Amino acid sequence: MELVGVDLNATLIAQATRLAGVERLRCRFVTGDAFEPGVAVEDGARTIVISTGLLHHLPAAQLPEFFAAQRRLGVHAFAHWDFDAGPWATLGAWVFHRARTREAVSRHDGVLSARRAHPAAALLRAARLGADGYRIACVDGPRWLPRLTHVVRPITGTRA
Amino acid sequence: MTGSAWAVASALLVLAALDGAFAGFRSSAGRTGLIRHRRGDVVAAARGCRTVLLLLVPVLGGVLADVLGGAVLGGAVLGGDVLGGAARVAPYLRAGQVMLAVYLPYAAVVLAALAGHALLDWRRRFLATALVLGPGTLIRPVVVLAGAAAGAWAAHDVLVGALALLAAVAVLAVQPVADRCWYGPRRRSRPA
Ligand SMILES: C[S@@+](CC[C@H](N)C(=O)[O-])C[C@H]1O[C@@H](n2cnc3c(N)ncnc32)[C@H](O)[C@@H]1O
Repeated sequence: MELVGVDLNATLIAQATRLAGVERLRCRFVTGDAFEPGVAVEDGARTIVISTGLLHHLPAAQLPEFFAAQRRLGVHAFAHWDFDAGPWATLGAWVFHRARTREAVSRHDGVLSARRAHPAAALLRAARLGADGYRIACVDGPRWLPRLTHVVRPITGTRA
Repeated sequence: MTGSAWAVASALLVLAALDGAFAGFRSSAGRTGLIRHRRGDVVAAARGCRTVLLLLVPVLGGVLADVLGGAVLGGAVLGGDVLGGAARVAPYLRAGQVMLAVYLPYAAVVLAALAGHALLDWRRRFLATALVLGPGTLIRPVVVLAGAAAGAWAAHDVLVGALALLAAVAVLAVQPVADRCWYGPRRRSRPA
């Protein structure tokens, strides 16, 4: 198995590469669009794409294309973790970022990220539109119920 | 000093040392991006512990000078302990007991959450942070100052009250001091 980390941001990739070197981790990092053919995915059928905290960066209108790009690459499966949005996630993000982060921008962005996360229904709709031929799953709890052990949850897809 | 005075003083010192260790840890946490950071955490905790003990030296000096000075004077001038040392211990004992009454429940909750954090799987570990450790960090300055203020109030003694508040300021200064000396943005090239 080969682990490849991809990000659009070259600074993050340089830092990840340096840290992996320090800890002698068996993985590599690439700068670029993860879904551009040849950047990171060489053999789609043998690739699983995972991300954390990415989906809330995309406007709802771009979600179908996000999933379509993975279908075009023919990836075997994908799993993208993001906040299970709702008032409890927002409150939890506020407490967490106040307590554990120091930079004003992280404190601001952390809460904003939780607030703009997409509900499972929107993700499911987009994934079914974009990644036709994949078995899609994503489950949210009731909005009013604090589900502290499910602050982030994945949307998953496997080639049918 | 009586046995209970020693017990109260030691308990407060242990709590301060623990709090200093956690403050040192918080100052360093998440700065390097490394996955394996246990050694760095231990160094940071030791630095925080040392820092709080150092910052408390003026407070301890003040208390000892007050109590021992009183005892010496009491012994020399009054020929006994009643108006001297023992009399000076009483307001410290009152203040310390009230401070412990505020700090011990807080410490018990935090330590229980830390035990949970150490023993639970990652999902439930997050619970310990979200429900206890995060909010605990947020209210910590209020708890520290409230304990000192309550102690100062109970002491009915200006010097004892001032030293209690000074101790609270020393405890709260640990993280900013650690940020400045070791972990803040301008010091990031010197992680442990
Ligand atoms: C909020 S960050 C999450 C970082 C990390 N996964 C974490 O949990 O801390 C989202 C990252 O996704 C990157 N990103 C978004 N779309 C991407 C794409 N198509 N290819 C590669 N990286 C992308 C952005 O550059 C950004 O750094």
